[in-house]
Amino acid sequence: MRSNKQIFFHPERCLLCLSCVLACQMKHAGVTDVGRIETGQKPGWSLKVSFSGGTPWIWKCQQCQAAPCTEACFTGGLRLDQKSGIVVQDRESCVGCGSCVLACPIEGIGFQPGEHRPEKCDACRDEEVPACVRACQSRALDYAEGEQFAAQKRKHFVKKLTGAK
Amino acid sequence: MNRFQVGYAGRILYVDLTDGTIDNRPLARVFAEKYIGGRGFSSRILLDEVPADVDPYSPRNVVVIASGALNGLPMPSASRLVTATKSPMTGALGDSNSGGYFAPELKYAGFDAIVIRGASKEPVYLFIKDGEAELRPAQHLWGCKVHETHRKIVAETNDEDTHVLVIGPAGENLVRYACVVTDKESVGGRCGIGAVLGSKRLKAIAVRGSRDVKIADPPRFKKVIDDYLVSIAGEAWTESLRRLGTPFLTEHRQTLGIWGAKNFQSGIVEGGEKISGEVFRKKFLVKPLGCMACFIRCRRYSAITAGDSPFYTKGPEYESIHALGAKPNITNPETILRAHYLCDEYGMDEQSAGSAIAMAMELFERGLLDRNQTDGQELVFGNGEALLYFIDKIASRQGFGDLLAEGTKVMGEKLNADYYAIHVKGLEVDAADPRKQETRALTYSVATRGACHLRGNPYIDEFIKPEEAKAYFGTAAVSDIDSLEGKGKMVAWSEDWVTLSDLMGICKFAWYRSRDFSMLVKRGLDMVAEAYQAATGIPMTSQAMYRCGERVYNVEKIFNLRQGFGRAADYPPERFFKEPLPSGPAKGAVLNRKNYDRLLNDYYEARGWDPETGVPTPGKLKELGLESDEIE
Amino acid sequence: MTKERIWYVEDSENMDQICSRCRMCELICTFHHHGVGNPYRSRIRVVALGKGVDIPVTCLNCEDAPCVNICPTGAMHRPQPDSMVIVNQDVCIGCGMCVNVCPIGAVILDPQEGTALKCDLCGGDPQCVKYCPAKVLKLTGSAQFSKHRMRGFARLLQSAND
Repeated sequence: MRSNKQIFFHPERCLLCLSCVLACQMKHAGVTDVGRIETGQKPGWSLKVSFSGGTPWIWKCQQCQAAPCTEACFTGGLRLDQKSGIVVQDRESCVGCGSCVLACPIEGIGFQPGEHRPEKCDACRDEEVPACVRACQSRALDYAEGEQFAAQKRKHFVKKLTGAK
Repeated sequence: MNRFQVGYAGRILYVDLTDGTIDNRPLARVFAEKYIGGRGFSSRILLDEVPADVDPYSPRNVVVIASGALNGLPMPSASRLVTATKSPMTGALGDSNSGGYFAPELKYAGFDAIVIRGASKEPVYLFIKDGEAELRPAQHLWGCKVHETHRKIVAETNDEDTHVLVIGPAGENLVRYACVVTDKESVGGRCGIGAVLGSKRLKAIAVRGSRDVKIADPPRFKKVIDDYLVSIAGEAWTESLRRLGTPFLTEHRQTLGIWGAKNFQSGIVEGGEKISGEVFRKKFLVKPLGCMACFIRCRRYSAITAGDSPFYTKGPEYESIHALGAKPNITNPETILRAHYLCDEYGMDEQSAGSAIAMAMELFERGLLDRNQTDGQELVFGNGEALLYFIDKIASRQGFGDLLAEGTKVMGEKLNADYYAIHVKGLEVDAADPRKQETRALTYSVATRGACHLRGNPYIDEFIKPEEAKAYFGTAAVSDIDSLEGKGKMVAWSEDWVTLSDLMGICKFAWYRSRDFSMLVKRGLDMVAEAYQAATGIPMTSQAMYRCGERVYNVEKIFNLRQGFGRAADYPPERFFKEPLPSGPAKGAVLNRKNYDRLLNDYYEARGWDPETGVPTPGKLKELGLESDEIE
Repeated sequence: MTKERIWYVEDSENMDQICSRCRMCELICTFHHHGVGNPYRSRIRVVALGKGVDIPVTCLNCEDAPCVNICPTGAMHRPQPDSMVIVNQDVCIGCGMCVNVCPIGAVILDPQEGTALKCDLCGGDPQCVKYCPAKVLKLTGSAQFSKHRMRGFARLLQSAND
């Protein structure tokens, strides 16, 4: 049955260890053992971590429901797949014009070093759980359905409010 | 856009548990216009799919779960779910009604009804989400009580907005009156639907949806909601129900002396003031609860927090106090609340459980049962420990509980004690003692699911004005509570009109509680027809709508006639004709057979049914568009 | 000046002025904004904790709203310094960062349209307040609410001294 999971971030749990970025790079490099990354090799990545005003934040493609990149792309190479909730990139159609990179307000899609076509997070579609979520040791990254994520926060809020266990 | 996806979800889900196939089909316009929803869908589908030779526990029996037409919308008090099947208690049409949130959620998930056929080899549960459905293994849930089953399924779906209908151990063990419970608290009690699901090894149905229920004309709909709310707020009952819940009726029974006390041997409960609505409010009430979109908020949320086994429970209802208090003559409110909670956790109808135990108590006191038969228990009236003991045993069908689990009709047959089994067609009499007036007894006895006070509304004669009586029923005598003239017609009309609440999914407390007959008609017919049109865009006059109620009632009658329930099955228990109430304000009340016969004739005539057999005449069938359903 | 929001006000003296979990607020909210029946597009949701604890939750109109701070397009904004934070539906791209960052889960993505939904006080005449049968929802700023609490406490003190 369709499960529309997204990657969510809890900034209060983030240790800024950047394991998530490393895991993403390893995925790009196609290795499972970090020792296999060659000297000088700079694998691409699809997520960035920032730290502003004391708060960490994860920047990656948000798989927007009304994504500007899908509108900017004139070859039809970017489209939101309703079933998975992922903005899917068709690399065959991509001509590397970079319109999507200009359109995206959060730098969720970008040119990787040495690549002619921009890349973005696809939530590791081929796997059960995205690499960054698996790698996070403090559970700052969460893979959940949006409605339940918000519902969990409401529940947590009410527990705090009422002192219930 | 499919026109019947406005107001309606527009699809019906079909599940075959034998081969595991799941299918769905669009809701046909003709079907929606003729049967509206809820009990209209379920009764029609059961008539079409369950022939007379099908045993209720066979895989050929069908269970229908249906939302009312106005569920899922901000329609006040529109939350009611219908669950229906061929009842193992009666062998007749059986349905139960429950509130809460399941019926609206079913529509948000994209379905107006679910039709369950066949039987699974292994325990399963059905999971429905946004237009899709699948069967999931439930072996690990088999044996779990209601609360635990619910919690586990919600944990599996990882979504607290999942609404779940479950059966408890009673349903698994085929306790004949096992029930269904949604969201741990809303009980579809009567007729043994839970047992049929148990025979199909369907442990639960989980629903989750996020689709819209569309509205054809929102501003028009808003106006109806607002008018409806003003009308409900204006009723005196609204305040009583919110304050005490249905237990407020205890005072009425006590004052009039019409409890079904001691298995309907007496109309009064000695010490009845100990189990009044006020007592339950004072001792146990946490707060009132409301079903989806309900402004009346009659539900209780009660708790016993001290002692060894504390618990929280939705309830009690008046019927809990009647069945587990008055009938077995128990006046300890804590025992009653605990018994009620256990029935809910095991998933069985407290009305039938209390009735079975009360009947056994009478037999025991009369020497027709002894301690050897009753697991060594001193099964006398007032023995609260025995009540709690046997509720456990019934759920697991152990010892004497095994016979009690069969219900009063089978107990009467097996113990050669039919006279003490107080039921009609196999379903036990509830609500109140009807000996004071034949009209009440008629309402209970002709109800299409067995003894039931919720099919018709005979209390109209308590407040209808003579001019209104003349206009609606042809004679001012209907406004005279002591007269039987025209009452057959009144009961018939009330049944068709009350049926509409089960088609629309609106609670009866919004539907038929008023002391003003013209307001009843205005709210229950005109406003609802208006709401239906505003929601669905389908033209529907009050007249046409009323006709749907009549049509559904006739469909149910045909189902029962095919099962062999003729005129003889439309009579109340012999006790009500033979034994005048011995004491209290209704002392001496007893039914007069001649009067009842005459009243039943009037009722059949008013309905357009043959006076001897009760079969709808060809003329009546044609009028209702049911020609193809003639009985040979 | 304090910012207004819908707040849950129970009356501990009166058990009928407690949320009954009827969810009419959810239904009327969606009906008002979208003209349909669907609690999952509502900007107020009742949280059921069990044991009789049911609390409706909606936007608290934070002074320093994280949703406004994080929004990459400016769709999430406060039109006037003292107004409620609202979503400009024409600009919202449905990225969900506001959903992620709201500390209490008061922002959701519309299951039909995909854009962000949150309480907008119905433009000044909040429907949930109107239609709540228990009358437990109030349009209130934190100052008014504190005053209400202070008054209640004072009454309690007075009755203790009597």
